[in-house]
Amino acid sequence: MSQNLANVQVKVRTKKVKSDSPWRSAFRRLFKNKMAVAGVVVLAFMFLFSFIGPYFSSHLDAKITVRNANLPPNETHWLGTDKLGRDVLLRTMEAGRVSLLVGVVAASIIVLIGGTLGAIAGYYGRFVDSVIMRFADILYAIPTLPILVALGAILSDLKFPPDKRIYLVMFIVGMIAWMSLSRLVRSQVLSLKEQEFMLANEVLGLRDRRKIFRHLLPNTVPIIIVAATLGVANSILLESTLSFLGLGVVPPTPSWGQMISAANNMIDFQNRPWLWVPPGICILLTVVSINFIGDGLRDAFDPKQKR
Amino acid sequence: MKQLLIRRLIQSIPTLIGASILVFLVFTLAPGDFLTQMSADANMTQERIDEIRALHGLDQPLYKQYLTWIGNLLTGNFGESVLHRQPVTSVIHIFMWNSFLIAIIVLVLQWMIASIVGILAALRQYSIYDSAVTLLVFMAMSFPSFFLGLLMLKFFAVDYQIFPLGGMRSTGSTLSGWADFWDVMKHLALPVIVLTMLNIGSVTRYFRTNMLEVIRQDYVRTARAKGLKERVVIFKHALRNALLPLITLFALEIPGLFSGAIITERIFNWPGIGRVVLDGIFQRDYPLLMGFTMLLVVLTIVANILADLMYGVADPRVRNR
Repeated sequence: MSQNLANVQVKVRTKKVKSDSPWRSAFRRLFKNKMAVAGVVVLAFMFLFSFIGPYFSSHLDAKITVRNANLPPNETHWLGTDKLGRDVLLRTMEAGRVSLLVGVVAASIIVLIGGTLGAIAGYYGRFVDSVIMRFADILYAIPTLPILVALGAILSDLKFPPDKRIYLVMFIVGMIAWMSLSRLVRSQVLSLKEQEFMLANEVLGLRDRRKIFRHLLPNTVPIIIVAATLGVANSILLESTLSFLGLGVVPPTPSWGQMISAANNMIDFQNRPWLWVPPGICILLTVVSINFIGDGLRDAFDPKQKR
Repeated sequence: MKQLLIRRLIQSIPTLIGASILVFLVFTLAPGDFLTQMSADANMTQERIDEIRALHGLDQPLYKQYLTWIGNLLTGNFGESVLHRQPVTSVIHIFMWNSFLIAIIVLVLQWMIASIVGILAALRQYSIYDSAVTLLVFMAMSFPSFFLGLLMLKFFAVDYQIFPLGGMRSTGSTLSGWADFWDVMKHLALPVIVLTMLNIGSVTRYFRTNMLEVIRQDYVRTARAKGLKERVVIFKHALRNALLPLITLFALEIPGLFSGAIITERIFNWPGIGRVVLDGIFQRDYPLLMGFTMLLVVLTIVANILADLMYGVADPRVRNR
């Protein structure tokens, strides 16, 4: 009997300890948010659709068959075919790989640059801070879309091989979107460095690099995760805009935005909506679900700010 | 107030200089200019190209080119557009007002609709209406502008021919007066609808969030407790306070009135500054691009200062901080 009681007590205690972890409670809050859960489901589907989907397609071998060009949707080609006779469904899946990859890598660049510069500016303060933040101010003042398109056009002249263009696009998008994250991280670091654990680090005589990367930045992970999530959505949109204008990912590499550029042809636009509507819906679904997740994460990490 | 203005103006000078250097470097160090395209022409001799290069001052060292450029900008000389063979200022002047026309209508519509929808959503938090608004707001924020434009064009202009396909006036239009106005309005409708739909999301969200925040405040409870009508509580006590942070948002939208909408103008073939800039990008019309970008930089900085000042004027609590 008494042993039983002890067991029960142990059980209760382990349970309580688990729910105390801030990460665990954040995720519990996230999964209570219906919109965020829907976002996770849709996003998971989009990833499966793009990365696993092609293996289920029966058109993998027969890629270019001009005889089958411009077919409307039918039983063998559920979303029809394009002007080279390629299956649009398969191409939408393969384009998804590129678009999602660009989104994730560009967001990583944003986190890397924005996080590091923000932390350095916040930690060192004074001269370093004003140099970095002034630079961010300058980039903020320059309008995003014109400079994005101009960079796309200018770097197109570098004669990158078409299959390497995707790296260029990731780089451009990452370079023009890191400033808001660096501001967030900086302000967070400014308040963190006044706290006692940083004094303890001082006493331990840790090196600056260790203090910044092992002690300060880990404490800013919640805002970084939220910013990274929204950064993926934003990067996918920017990439699709660039590719739509023919300045981003170029054929034969497909991306959703680049597939929609088929609509630049008047006949394709008016009579063959199956060429450009499916990739557009894919972008919309992906970006909406990422935005839902990002919003849910923000609420989950910051329960005080209830809305 | 005056002190704040002067301090902000002085602070903005380094930003302005930095931005101008960056813009200058991006377009000057860019591989290829309009001369690269000219030299593909067989009739162009190397001497002639060098001559043109010298004429445009492109043979000077980089810092000299920059100083000349910035000096000209300060005296209002933006250089000559390569594509339009006209001074950049007059190109901008011709096309910017077409963009402004759309942008101002969008701004008014967007704020009117967003305020009503956002406030109602906040007053009925967690209702079905509120969830529907949230969903629509997220859709609006996530739509790729070109895809929404194409869908609307396909639906309303191709399939149901309610609105014209693009442009600003019917081809070969000789209409004048009211008929001309009506013609422009019909061409304007689709781009205005698309831009309003794209922009409305964030403003609606701000209205909802701010309203929710204010409604929980003690002074709103006090107002209710002393028996004021709900209408007075909402519009006089809550709304006026909820509007304060939105002043900043409003001021920051001012540059957008002049910047044009690159993507939407291209899709609807609207003769605005956004389309001209896009053409300029494809044709390497660097004087036009540099001048226009710098104009927007100045507008953005001014709008930022204005946002701070207006906030100070409206809210005594942040004044003299």
